[in-house]
Amino acid sequence: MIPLQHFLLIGAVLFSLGLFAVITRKNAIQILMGIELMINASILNMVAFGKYDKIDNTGQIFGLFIIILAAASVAVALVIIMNLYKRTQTIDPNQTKSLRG
Amino acid sequence: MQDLPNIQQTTTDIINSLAYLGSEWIIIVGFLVIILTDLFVEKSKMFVAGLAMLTLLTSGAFLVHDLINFQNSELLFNGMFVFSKSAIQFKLLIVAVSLFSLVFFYQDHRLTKHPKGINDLISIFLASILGMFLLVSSANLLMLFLSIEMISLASYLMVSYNAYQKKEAEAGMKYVLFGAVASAIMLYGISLIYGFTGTINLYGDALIIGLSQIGIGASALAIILVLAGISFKLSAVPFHFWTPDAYQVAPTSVVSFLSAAPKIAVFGFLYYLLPYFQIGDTINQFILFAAATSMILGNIAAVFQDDAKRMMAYSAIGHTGFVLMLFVMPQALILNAVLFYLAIYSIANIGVFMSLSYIENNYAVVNISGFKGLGKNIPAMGVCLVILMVSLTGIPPTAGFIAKFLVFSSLISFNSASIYITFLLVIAVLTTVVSLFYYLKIPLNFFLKKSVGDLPIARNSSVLVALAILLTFLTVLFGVFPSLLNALIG
Repeated sequence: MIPLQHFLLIGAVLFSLGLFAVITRKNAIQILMGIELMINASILNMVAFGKYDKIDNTGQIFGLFIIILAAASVAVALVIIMNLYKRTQTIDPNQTKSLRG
Repeated sequence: MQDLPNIQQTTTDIINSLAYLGSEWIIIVGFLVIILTDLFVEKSKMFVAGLAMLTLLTSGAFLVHDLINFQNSELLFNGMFVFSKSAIQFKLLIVAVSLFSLVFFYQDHRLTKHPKGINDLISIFLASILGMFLLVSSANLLMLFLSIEMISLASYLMVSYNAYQKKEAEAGMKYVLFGAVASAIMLYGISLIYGFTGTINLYGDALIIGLSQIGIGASALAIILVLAGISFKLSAVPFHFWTPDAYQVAPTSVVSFLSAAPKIAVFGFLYYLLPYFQIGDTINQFILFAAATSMILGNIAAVFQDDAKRMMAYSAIGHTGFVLMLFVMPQALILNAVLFYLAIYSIANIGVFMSLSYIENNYAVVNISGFKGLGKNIPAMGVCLVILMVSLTGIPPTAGFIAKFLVFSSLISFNSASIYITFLLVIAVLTTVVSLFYYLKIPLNFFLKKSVGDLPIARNSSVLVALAILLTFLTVLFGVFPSLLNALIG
């Protein structure tokens, strides 16, 4: 049986790697992959904690909801990125500099 | 097979709860009917507009009915949903703002000239209102996550709805990436809170006991991660980067909706959340920090903007900080001031965006320096803009003064010898003075500077003029008789 600490450690590592990818990558799709890693870290946490919550199974159910919503938001994000690519032929957030923010 | 002990009771509770959701059902039905109409009926633009208006009005009527008939708060759907008086008040405010926005959508040339029509936008708009209703009423971290995502997805789509130019597509992408990161961070915080406390219900003692047992470091980390996701929707300072870009390029009517309605919803949720997270000083310190930095950065950065919508974005950040300031106090003391400030801010804000949209429709000017001498051509709009700007600054006799006065007076009467709150008050006063510089820049260009060339006489969008005059009238009316608005929201 794998102890809880291992799950939490992997979750924390996944979250940090995802955040690192978001900050350093130069491609919108790669940033989305980083976001996906961060979301997966919290799913892992949820399910690992859910082992101690046998009556309500909140962790597992929350995990299912997260998976579905992550898919929905990735679909929306991809549409918007596709639209940008059609206008500018690039999806590098650092090269699209017509706005100052 | 293991038997399910609670299934009978759970089902009864769900069936009993269904009857409470009148206003939400109406919006769901309206949303579905509008999608189907758009698919199967040709030339349905006016029909959809009437339908959306009817949906909002009916839903508002249900809310008023609930407000009169129910006094105590109840938990519905096995503790997923809270039904309370304050939640209904916040929802009514959201419906009022949405009604103005709905009319505004049909006056915005950038939306009405969209080749695919405006009907899709209206259905997304109704879905986001449903998300806001659920957010105000959520009593559970799962509901919080679902409803925040519902609002976010809808607002990504609304911002990028007619992103046909490079700038617009770029702002849409930045918004969606920031938003996804913020919700991923919030999700990690929720998973930590679930692990520490074994529950995701916000009411009851389990959350408070669990968070105080785990130790200050861990609980502070979890709470800050959750608040990060919330403050993204509020555009409070550490997560404000998307605001100026999105406001600058999105259609003006969409901006006026997004700058008011989601904020009301998030503040409504924060109001419900407050007593359960006020353990230790974590939330108070976070709010102190976010409020102070939002006020400073928003108001100072706004001085240097030339694009009118960008300036309003920074001003929105400043106002968020101002409302956030109230949330360092206990829950019982703040409801009135929060509702009043949000109502007045939304009225003035929507009025300003309507005037800006009118100018953009007629003269295609978006920069403040391009407003020179416009006051002679459109005197009615000019006077409205001056009064609304004065109200946003907070000078009597407008309602903005009363709103700011309420916030200050409740903070001063609470001031329990805390040096931090005094510090916060000083920042609020100073930034209000700074805000005078940029708010009055528009009237200055409007009336006191000579125009560069000849300007044509404005022709269209008389609805916008009427609405802006109505909103200005409300601002002055509530400024002279603040008890009227108090009676309305109380």
